[in-house]
Amino acid sequence: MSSSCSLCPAKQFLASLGLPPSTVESVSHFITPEESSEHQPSWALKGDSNLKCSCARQTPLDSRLPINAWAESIFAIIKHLHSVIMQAAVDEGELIVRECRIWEYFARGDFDRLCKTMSQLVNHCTKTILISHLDQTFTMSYIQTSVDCLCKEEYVLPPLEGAQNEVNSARGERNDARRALRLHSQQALLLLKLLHAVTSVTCVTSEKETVQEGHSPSPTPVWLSCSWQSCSRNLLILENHEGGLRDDAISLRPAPKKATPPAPVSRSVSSATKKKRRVLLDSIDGGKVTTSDHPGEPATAKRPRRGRGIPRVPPEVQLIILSFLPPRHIVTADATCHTWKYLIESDCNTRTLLRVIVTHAKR
Amino acid sequence: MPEEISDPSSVDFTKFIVLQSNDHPNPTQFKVSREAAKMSGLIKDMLEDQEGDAIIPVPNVTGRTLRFALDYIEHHHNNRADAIEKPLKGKIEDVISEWDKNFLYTHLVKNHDEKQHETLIDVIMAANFLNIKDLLDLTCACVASMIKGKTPEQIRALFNIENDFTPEEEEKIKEENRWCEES
Repeated sequence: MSSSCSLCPAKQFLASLGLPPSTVESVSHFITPEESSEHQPSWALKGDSNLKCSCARQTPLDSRLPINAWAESIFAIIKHLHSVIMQAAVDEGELIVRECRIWEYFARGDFDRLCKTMSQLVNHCTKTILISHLDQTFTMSYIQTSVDCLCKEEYVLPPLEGAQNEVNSARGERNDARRALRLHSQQALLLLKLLHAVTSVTCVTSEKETVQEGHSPSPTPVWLSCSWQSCSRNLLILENHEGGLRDDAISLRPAPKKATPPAPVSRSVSSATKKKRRVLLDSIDGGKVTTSDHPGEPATAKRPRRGRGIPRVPPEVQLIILSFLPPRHIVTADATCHTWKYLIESDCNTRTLLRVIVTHAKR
Repeated sequence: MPEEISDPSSVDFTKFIVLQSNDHPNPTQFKVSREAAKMSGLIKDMLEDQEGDAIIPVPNVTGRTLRFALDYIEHHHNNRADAIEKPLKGKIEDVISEWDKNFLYTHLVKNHDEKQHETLIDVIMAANFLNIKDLLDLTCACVASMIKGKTPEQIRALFNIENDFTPEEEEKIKEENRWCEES
């Protein structure tokens, strides 16, 4: 077994993204200040005994892998990175542009550059998050929530040819998902390819172990363990389905598995499943994460950017505007809306200035 | 003005890059010199990272807005604008160059009509996204200049800001700020 097996999951994850060893060390330390079982990183996969390091092997893609659910999950992760960066009030432009570059490289099949760009993207996000002292563990635990949902097959939506009532009940969720995804189908496909291309498998479910434990061969989708060919096959199906992620595409099933009996698919969607699905979709939609699975976790608030005028300007830019105001007008701005009042009071310089003004006036 | 192109293959990428707006389905492509483009922190970082040809998509900015941003950097990359003082004393027109004045009040705030400031806001967003500090300062100072001398009600009406204070909060704030109005 290679030396990477001795690494903790956090380090494996970071190392697989091609980050320099020094970054891996410092970031891992930040994520997992203590690696004792008591302080297990919250994103460490549950039931570690069922997991193997990437260097063990890769299992072939399970044919019933909910491919669009993967895409949802990837979107959720990237969206979350966006929201974390936005929360840190730092520039997200670099993240967005690098994503575009990644998609471009995919279109060209330029995987060398793609991997390099992906590494830069992760490096940038990691640095940004570290610099802003945001809770990295939260990010990782959120990613883990998405992965958990996939691994438990809770994202397999009922097939279209299922019972009509199932279709009807699923339709609302499909529409939600479609709204949530928003992105172009091509981007979904490229992102899916991206995840495969840039990540060496960190954790795979061992079918052997599952069998040994007396369970039927697990149909569980294996995170990031699909072979390129299988992935491509699924993509082809998705692409052929009337041009990509349209209304029904969210419920597409991957191609039938060759030479293996179809494993039973749970068509009923439990309330817990629905809840989890809702959590992920909500998070895709607005970068807002509130999950009962992780009580007490901070929720990344949606930032209002709707409508016209100033409200669509990010708060950090609104603060720049306010910084040009003379003291007297800062007082007026303070009385305009909660956002400005909060910005003025939270900005150290302006707050001090305001205090001086008020104190002076009271004299 | 930035040059709009239809065929990027003819561009000499050793000297120029191509920036592509987010207009769907027909994005606009602009040819910009590498030196000028480096006024954008975002583009500068991108250019340092990558080799070869450079067609950089700018996904958050429309062609119309991108044109204004590029217009600014093409004018100022060899002719940096003086930093705008903080806080802004007097009107912004008094502290900026003729070119900047014309740029702001011809294109971004149409005919000096403060109500027609949507393009200004678009350019603020683009400057923030592209990390063009001088342009961001100029446009933000312009908004600050518009805020000056107005009451909270007038500011809200002008910039479409919702009054999210309760009547009690509003009354309390008015009371706190009475000294300011009296002075």
